[in-house]
Amino acid sequence: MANRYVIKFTKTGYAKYTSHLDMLRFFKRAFRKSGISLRYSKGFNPHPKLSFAQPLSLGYSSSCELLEFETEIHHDPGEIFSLLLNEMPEGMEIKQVEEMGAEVKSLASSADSAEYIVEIPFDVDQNKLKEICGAYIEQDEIIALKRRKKDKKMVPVDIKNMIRSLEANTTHTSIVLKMDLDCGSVSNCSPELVISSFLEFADIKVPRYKIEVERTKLEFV
Amino acid sequence: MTKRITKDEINKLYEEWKTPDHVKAHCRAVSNVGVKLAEELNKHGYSLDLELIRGTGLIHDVARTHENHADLGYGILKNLGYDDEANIVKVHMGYPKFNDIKNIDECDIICLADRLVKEDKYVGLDERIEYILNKAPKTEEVKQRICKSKEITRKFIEDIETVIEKTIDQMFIVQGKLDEILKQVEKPGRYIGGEVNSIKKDHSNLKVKLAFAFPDIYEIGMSYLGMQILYNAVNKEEGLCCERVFAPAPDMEDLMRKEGLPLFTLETKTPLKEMDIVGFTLQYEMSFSTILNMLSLANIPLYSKERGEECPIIAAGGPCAFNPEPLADFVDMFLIGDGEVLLPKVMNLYGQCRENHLSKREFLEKVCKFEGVYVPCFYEPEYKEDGTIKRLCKLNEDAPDRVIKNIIPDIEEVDFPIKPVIPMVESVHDRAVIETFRGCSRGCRFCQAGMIYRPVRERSRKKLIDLAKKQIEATGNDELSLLSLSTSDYSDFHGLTLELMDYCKKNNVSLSLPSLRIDKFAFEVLNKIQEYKKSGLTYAPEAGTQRLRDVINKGVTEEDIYTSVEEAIKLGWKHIKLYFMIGLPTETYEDLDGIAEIAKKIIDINHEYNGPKGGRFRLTVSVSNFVPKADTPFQWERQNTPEEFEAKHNYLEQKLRIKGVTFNYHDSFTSVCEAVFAKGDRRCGKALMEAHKLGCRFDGWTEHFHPDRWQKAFEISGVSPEFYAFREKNTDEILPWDHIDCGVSKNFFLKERERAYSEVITQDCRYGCKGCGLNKKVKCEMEGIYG
Repeated sequence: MANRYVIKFTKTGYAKYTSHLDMLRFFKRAFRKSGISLRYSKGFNPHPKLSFAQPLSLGYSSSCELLEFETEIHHDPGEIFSLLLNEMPEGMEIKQVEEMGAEVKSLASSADSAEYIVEIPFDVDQNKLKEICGAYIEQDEIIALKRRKKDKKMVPVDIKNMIRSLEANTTHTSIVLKMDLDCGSVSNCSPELVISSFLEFADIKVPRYKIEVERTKLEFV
Repeated sequence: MTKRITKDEINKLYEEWKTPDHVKAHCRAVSNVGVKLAEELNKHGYSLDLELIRGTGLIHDVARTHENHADLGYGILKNLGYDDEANIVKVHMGYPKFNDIKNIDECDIICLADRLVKEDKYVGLDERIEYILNKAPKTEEVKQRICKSKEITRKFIEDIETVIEKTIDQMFIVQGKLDEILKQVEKPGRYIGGEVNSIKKDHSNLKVKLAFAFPDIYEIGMSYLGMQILYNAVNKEEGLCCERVFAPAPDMEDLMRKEGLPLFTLETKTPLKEMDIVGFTLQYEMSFSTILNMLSLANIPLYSKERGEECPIIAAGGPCAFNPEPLADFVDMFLIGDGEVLLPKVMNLYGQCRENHLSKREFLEKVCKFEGVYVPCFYEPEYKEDGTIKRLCKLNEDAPDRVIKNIIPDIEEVDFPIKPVIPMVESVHDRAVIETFRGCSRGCRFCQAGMIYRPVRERSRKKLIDLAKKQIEATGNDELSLLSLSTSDYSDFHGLTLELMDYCKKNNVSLSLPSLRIDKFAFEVLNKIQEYKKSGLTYAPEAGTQRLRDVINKGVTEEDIYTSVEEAIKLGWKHIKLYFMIGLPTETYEDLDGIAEIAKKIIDINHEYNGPKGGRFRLTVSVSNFVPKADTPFQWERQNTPEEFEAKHNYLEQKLRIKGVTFNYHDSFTSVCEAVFAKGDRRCGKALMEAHKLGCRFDGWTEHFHPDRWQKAFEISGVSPEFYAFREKNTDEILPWDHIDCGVSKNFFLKERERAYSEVITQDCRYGCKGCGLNKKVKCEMEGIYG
């Protein structure tokens, strides 16, 4: 038996302000508490086999977080579900537990795309918005500024080929962007790049802290 | 009283009329806003029916998905015999004819609340009206009607705000602004609450709401066991709640001030001003400015005399409450001594007083009769010309002459938290903790904790094992630590440690034993629990020569140190840390030489075992500045001036230029401020106020401490460190804390001071009573057990 599992859970409300590292610490503890022994890596500095399919930026909510892990002994997924159910803090809810075969590649390495819904509080006419959105996506290249890791400088990157789809709608008070982006180790596009370049293109000035982002889907190859 | 609609009935109606979830959420929000508004008005002389408002708020949109939902709702409720509810629901849509402010009724409140809530959030009038205007195309005529209604509503809001003396936005704004602010700060997880084992109670069922305030950031406060103990003790009581609040980090503070977001509790995001009691824990003098800063962030007036009936009671407790005077002008009541029984008792009394419509003053008059409660406004010191205290006048005859600390005689059966709140942001100590015993019998003469927590009270080994297991199970922690003032002094230490080691090993939990006395047994234990992780070993000889160690009654000999260091080095420890204090009474430069000698000798021992290069061995010598504290034999002593301290630091720096030795010392001026507040009187509150105005907070953090601001604060307020810190007090002076009885007698302190000067040690009172006076108040279980 592979004893590999994947948990699907949600992160909503204030829980979205829990960082990636704190999430890992939380789950390690939740497993200990519920008596599920994780399998540890061999080596000088053993660590539990526990990883998120894709890290989620601080401040994003999500309806589709995936955590994969391996256990020492076999558990029924239903058992894991009910053991973890009561360990969750406010705003985090376990939706599903599934078993994974030994041959399946890890989720982190097979992530392919992710869907985000972005809510920008800005009043604009629906038709005009559609027009802007169309023009944005039709550009020959879509240039966004990205912070380079090595020297922290902002450098322009073309994200056009990383945006698989972009849809814009309005509600009474907001613009809602639904975007499907490259995600994973091969090509990865942060929604932040789309948000900033879109706002600049549309000449919309809304401070970043008024914008809400939710991850709604993760797809794998 | 008229029958009001119940929650069950409301739920049944929701089901029957298929009320969607988002409408229910809206109803809840309207109900909450309505009830809070009404409560506030009731505090100001109105007598609105809260149950009617609660119920009507919840049911007002029950038929929202049907046509003419207001009329339909009216019919439904009328049929069931809820006439009052029905009448409000009927008019809630078109209603902008608010009653005159003097005749506000429940209908006005519901209709107003409905105009302030969008979906399930309080948004205020402007945003709500904008939403209605944009919701669907409107004719000009309709638009004008909406705008007119908005003006009427605004006028009504202003009238209410005049009555309640604050804006309605202020009351509800937290949730709206918080989300935006959290996106801009570092570690937003510090401010969100909702952790596993945290407790969120519905305020509508509560009699008294306490905000437990820790005057430092989340990661520090969450490591403090005292908070977990009190959190548990209060929350287990029905009708009471304890919520937590920590000092926001500077980035968060800036945004809160900019956005006008008042300081709030983590559990329910309630502004502190709306809580009944705000209780600060006083762990360290240098947190006092943070306390004032937190009050100001909560928009609560700092001085007690400026706070009216609408403000919460400000309480404080913890070790620094044994000299409460520097905070006396800011705090309404101090809880002195053991808190876990006293605090719920005080809260229950407060609840009763409120039920009987007593004023804050009347509550304080009653509560000051509890053992351990000090109400400073009932006392007023008079001063002599030389600045010392002439006498303490009592302003209330019923207040006790001396306040005796609260003592729980036996802690075995006192509730201990087995389900502590688990921090989501990693805290300083992220581990399970059990308190093995309270108090200390060693009698080190500089140590305040060793005096004020007397007598020694142990928990049984059986109890401790049980608590450890339960806590590990309830938290999933992988580290267990024992807490007390001196771990190895537990009377069955060997037995307890061996049993815990066994349990921990079986459950993959690491055991840590802080402030362990390093002897043969300790090495056996450490060798087993640390395995190959020989991280570091710490000793606290406190003074460099035997003479000075005898003065301070620290029962460690040079031989003890060298034998155990040698053993440690033999067993492979690579890092040893030594703690010393400088500026101790009778200290000379010979004593400083002693510090350097010890360091040198340890390096020599290492050479013996690890060759002339010494391997990777490191020795850290940490030197702190002696701060004389209230309720110790050294309470009359003078402190060194910063110049004296600095000269000593420089001297030691020279002397400790030894390969393999790292030398650390503390900032001198911080220690001066600490001494002023440790031994200060009521007048020192002025300096604190000035420091606060100059922007001081987080003074315990080197990077946030501003000596220049404090210098200025002392100057403006006329509070002089010369008088409070650098002056030796006369033994016949009235001390600012003389009216607080810590259980140990002044005579004992005097006697111990004499013995210190004669360089005579006083044995641990487990070998026989030394007459500190505590056993006149309560039985000392440990007295003479080794006698």
